[in-house]
Amino acid sequence: MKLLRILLWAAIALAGAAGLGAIAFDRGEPINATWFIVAAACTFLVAYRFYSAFIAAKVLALDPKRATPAERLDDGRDFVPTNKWVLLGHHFAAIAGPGPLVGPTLAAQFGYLPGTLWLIVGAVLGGCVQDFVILFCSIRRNGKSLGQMAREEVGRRGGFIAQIAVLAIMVILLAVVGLVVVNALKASPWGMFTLAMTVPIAMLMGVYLRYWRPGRVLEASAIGVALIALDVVAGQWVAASPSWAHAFSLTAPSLALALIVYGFAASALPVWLLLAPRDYLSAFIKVGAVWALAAGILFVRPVIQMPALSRFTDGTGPVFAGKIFPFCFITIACGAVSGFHSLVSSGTTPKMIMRETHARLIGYGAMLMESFVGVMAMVAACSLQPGVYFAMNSPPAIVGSTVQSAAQTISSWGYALSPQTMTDLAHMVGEQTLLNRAGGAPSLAVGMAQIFSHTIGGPRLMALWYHFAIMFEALFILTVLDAGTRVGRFMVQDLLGHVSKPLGRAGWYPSILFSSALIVGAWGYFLYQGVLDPLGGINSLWPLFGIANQLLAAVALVVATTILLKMGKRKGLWVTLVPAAGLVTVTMTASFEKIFSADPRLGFLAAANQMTAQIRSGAVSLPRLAETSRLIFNQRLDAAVTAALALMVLALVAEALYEWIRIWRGAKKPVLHEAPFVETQWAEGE
Amino acid sequence: MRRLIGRVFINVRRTRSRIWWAVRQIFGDAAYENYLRSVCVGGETAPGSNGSAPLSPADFYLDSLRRRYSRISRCC
Repeated sequence: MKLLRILLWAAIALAGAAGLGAIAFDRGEPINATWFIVAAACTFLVAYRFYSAFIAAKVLALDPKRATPAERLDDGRDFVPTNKWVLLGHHFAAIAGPGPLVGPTLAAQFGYLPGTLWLIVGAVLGGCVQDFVILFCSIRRNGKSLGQMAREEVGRRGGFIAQIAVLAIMVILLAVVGLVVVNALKASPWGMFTLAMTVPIAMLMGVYLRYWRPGRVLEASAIGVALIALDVVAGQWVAASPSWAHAFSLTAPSLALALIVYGFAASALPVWLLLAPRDYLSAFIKVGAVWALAAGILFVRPVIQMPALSRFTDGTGPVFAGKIFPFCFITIACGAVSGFHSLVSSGTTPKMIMRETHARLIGYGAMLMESFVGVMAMVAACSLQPGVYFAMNSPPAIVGSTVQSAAQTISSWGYALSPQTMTDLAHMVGEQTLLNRAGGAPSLAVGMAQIFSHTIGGPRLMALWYHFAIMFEALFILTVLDAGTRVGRFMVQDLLGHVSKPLGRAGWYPSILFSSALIVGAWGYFLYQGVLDPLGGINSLWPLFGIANQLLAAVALVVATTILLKMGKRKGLWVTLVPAAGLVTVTMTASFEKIFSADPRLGFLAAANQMTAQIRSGAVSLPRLAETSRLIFNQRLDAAVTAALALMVLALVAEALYEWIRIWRGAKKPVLHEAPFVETQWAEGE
Repeated sequence: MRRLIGRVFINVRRTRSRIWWAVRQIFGDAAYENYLRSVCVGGETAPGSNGSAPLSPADFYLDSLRRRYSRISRCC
């Protein structure tokens, strides 16, 4: 039996190696997507079976006899003992947002190889380890948050830095996901109608759940999903009617303003009316669409059309500027390593876990699942013709705003594209144009629509599948927008409470309105500047988001390393120290380049200086003077935000290093802030 | 043969009820039942009961939403 197990794992490892070899060493010949699935699935299985087991047994020494907070503090509300498979589902639904779909799609501009390898290696050695170790640390501390653990274990400054970093990430995240929605829905009456109708549908569900059948989530969601399906179909009739189509065709700035107003309403309205039902709806559709995509890829087995390495590894890419190092690692955060996950791992999950040993499945396993979603997004994006991919994701400042100019420019890069291809494709998916839709969502939607239509319906249903995919992405981006704005509002109220006590009261309506306006104003500002950015906004905002997210991951891994050192796990320190060092290197390099690079497409200050020089030389016409001055201010603001985040994290790293050296040398007695050991009262297997 | 079919039938029903149970748990449909069970096990001294009667389904639903959406519960 043992021999059989060894042979089985050897076969899985060999299959994984063959898959990785096939995608890494293939040059020129079309490669099938099956290799991506085999490479990712087998690597993840081996990593889970051996690496996570090593961390669980040798580094963390998970103790099945130790009672978890869910057992000791069970109150049926926050602390709820939950079956490990159910909690895996909860945790996965909480960590998997739009990031693992959008990031890999954007990183496809380097070719399929760098992003795929980073997704697989980054998740196994970095992201999963971070989620797992932080979950373990939080379980041992009664479910304390990352900020609280940083304050107690590293120092007071650590806690403050974590809190500010979270708020900053929240603002940039909400702006950038808002921008993805704007770029997906601008001048798209079908998509706009479909998404707009989700608001009354969610409200109807909200009333159902609040007054008619309190808490009957499945019933309400089933009604919501049926109405959404009707909604997607009805969108085509709206697009076909000139007057309705006109009413639902919004320009990018109008759409951005609509989102800002919506964000404010979602934050200030009662949570049961809009936010919660939309979240249920989004969770249902998210799980369904991800499974459908996995099944579709396995069924269709699409051929990857993107080369392994594109010509844009040198940093001249049209989607965003910057070389493969460090920007591939910044662009794909969620799916490989995402600092935001550490907030969920130190949030609700540690309060619901039944046994310490379940942390391996839930912390490490859920992140592997998310990374797998990222690999599927990469497959969907890379199954498009490279020319189509670049036409959809490049800003008009680079490829022009007509199909002719785009086809000419992109063909000159070596990626053949005819104007007719873009016109036909837009027609097939029921859109006027697919040009200049930077943000990843539309190109992913076309990729998904191609896979789905090969499975069910053929080309006739391509438009329906495209708008279903757009609705699915936009729906759960809006869920992030709603929930993020609301949490951001609470954070702002918490900070305002230090200045004025009434403003700190979460239920006081003037405070709700004021703090909602502040948080919406903050992300709304970045969103609007992204919409007006001639380079498409994604070029500046997505790297900023990636840097902020990875910096938070570095904070989490530094906190984890400090705790491991205090636990006396000197031989196992590398488990968190290596990814922490890697992330600090990557994020500091990216921050430095984004601020100081002499290339105006890459460096914020260089772009500001270039525009200033243009004004001084008189190259900017008088009507465009105000707009250019605003762009200069925005570039400098982005530089200041990047610098502030990088400096805060450097301060935390310096503080932690000082602490580590003192503990290592024995100059300071390590003090752990764990909850005392209590033996579990539950029998084995209960 | 009849016994085999009967056993298959029982297994199918058991699997179906397990899946339904998992779906209800994952999507939060069974949250109120879990809460009642937790309060009943500990009686009025349970940490969640605060010595008072259990919340009604509507109050529990609102309370759980307030808790969930006042902290980070969704990632990017």
